[in-house]
Amino acid sequence: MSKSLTKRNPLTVAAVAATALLAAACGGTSTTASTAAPTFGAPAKGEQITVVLPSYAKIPADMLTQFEQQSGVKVTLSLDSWDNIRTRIVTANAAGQAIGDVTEFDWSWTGQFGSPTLYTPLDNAISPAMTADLQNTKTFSKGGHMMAVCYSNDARIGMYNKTKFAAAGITAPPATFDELTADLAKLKVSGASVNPLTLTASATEGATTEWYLLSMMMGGNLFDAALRPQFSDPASAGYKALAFEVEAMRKGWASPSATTANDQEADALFLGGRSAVQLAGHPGESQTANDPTQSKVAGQTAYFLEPGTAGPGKTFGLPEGLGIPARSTHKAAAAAFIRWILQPEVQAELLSKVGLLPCRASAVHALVAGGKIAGGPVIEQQLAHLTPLFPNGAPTWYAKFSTDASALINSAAKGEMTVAQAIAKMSDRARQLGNG
Amino acid sequence: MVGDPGKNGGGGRRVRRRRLREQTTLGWAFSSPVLLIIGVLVLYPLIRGLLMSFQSLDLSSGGDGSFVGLRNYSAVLRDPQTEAAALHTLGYVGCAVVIEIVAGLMVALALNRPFRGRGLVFAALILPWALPRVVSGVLWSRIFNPDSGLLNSALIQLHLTHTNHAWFDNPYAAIFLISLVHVWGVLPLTTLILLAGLQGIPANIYAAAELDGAGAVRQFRTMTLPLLRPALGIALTTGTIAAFAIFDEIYVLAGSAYSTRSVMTQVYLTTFSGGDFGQGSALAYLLTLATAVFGIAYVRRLGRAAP
Repeated sequence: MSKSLTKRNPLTVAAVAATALLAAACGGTSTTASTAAPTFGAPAKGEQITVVLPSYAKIPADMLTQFEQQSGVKVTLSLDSWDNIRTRIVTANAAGQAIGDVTEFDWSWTGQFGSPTLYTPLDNAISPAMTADLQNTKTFSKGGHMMAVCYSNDARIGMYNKTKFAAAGITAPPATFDELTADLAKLKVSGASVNPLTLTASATEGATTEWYLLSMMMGGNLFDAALRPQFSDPASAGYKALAFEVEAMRKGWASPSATTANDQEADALFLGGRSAVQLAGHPGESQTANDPTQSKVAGQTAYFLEPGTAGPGKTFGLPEGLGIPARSTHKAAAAAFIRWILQPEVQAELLSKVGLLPCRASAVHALVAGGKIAGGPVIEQQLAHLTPLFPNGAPTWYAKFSTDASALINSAAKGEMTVAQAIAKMSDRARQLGNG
Repeated sequence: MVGDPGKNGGGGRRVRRRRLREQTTLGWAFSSPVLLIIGVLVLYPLIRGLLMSFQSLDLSSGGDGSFVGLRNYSAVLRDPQTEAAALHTLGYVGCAVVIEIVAGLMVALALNRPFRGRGLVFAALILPWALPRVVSGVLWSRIFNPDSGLLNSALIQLHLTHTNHAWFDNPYAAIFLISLVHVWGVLPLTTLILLAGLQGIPANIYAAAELDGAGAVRQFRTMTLPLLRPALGIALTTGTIAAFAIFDEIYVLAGSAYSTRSVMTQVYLTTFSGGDFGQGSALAYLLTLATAVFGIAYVRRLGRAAP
């Protein structure tokens, strides 16, 4: 027996193990920064890529087979919740890994993930004509590069329950904010709906989204070009939007569950027939709302233009894009997948099968003209009022601001602090983050 | 070096040494898989996390992994949210540990006596422990849901209230209810630890005490509780560690609301929402330190052998 396992040696073994672990731990991650946008060649036949998408964007297997037959690239589709994908990207990056070859890239991630060390610039992945036809390219641009390509033209649009409105004696959906508040009061008093407004005021991303939307409907912008907060003044749209949310809770227009429910749970109240107005509806929701297997209000709902101060209000887009992680080893095949998904016929199929509104203006127009989008004319009108929340892409600190903003909206909705206190804290946080 | 103890003495020592070497080898052979697992799953993350807490790793500001000394610790300690989260965590720990110990002791005392259906009760008791915390959080969210929850529905049916209550709108109620959900999951473990302690107490001392005229309350106070101290120490330590790390139940039931955030929630938000692994690791290490202080205090106070 060798002496390596004598009484004294465990210390040596432990020291060696600790040194090895320390060395491994210190190894950390190494990234290669590159500022020039790469070009993408043709993918190799038989190449395999992993595409990571949110569960609600599940591309049907027959569509993936079409792509595989066209390109020779095999796709493994990995589905996860939107929040989980974000967490996985952050964690994988810390470990020096990529979670897939093509991943979801939300509009709000541009600031945080829009770096060539994390994602591959896609300026050369699609043709200039295709880029020109795409809406929202600025939203995904950072440092002069297009970091992701829009595949789902998500935006906010109003939905209402015609049956409940009729039961309350209301003949048309609200066109202005004043009409909206009057209708909500009528719906409640008449008993047509106990809590007529679908609202998300929980400490989740959905709460900030709804507050942004209400602010825009009231005609305001939350940040100026220098990313300074524009919602501190009680006369500002952002301030009034939060005051409206608190009033909606106090008057019982919104359900008491609004302070704990996320946006999907809030949507379920509309689809379940409990609420009558959903301001944060989205294109494609009409399909779900009119499907009796998924909705109790099939045939009762319709889109309406977001009400503003004196006519249709602004709305904002929450486009979802596809990005190629910098650490992907199948970039050419990944780029081929992105080009495929932007084909007009693929976009039309995604709308009919998955409910994703196309990002290409020409595709939207053709579908509306062909009567292939439920509520298409209203959606097209609403898209004319589309305003980006951050015209130059979300700032790097967006995620931190959003987390705090949702918690403050939640505190105000629960009555833990006043609107003024919540807005003051939100402004301070935005300034602090903006100043680095 | 030893002198010459004679032929037989030297031979005996050689045999003893050989046996010792064999035992040592066998010991290492048996321990090595566990040591490997601990090294990879505990030691490596521990060292990596500690190093990260001294590095600039903020995704938002392009953290390059450079050494920043105690800056991350200083930043999290200056953050008012850390102080609020620490107070909430103490609230969770206080509520959860007290309820766990009192309820766990009561259930353990009941189960310590033989009765029909004891096996079934045991099985039912273990079930919440077997469920992942997220699942139990989702189950309880169905109970507390203001619109369609079982609790509001039951209260309205019993005419105890006429309106739906949002149970998590009051911060104190929210912390208490989340603690209850946490206790529901941890209670089986506490009960089993205390039951094992109770079963280790010899039955004959109770018989002797009864002969001496000691009543049930006195027996419990002067015999059961002192003899249960080591088990109580373990139950308190495991309960406190679990309560300090409370996260899943909070996240499912109340999201990242300010009024219910625990330190672990703050760690999650800093690390994964904010993308700052440096500050997240620093906060996680501070939480580990606080947990260790409590754990050591319990072990020193209660973990000693019974008098």
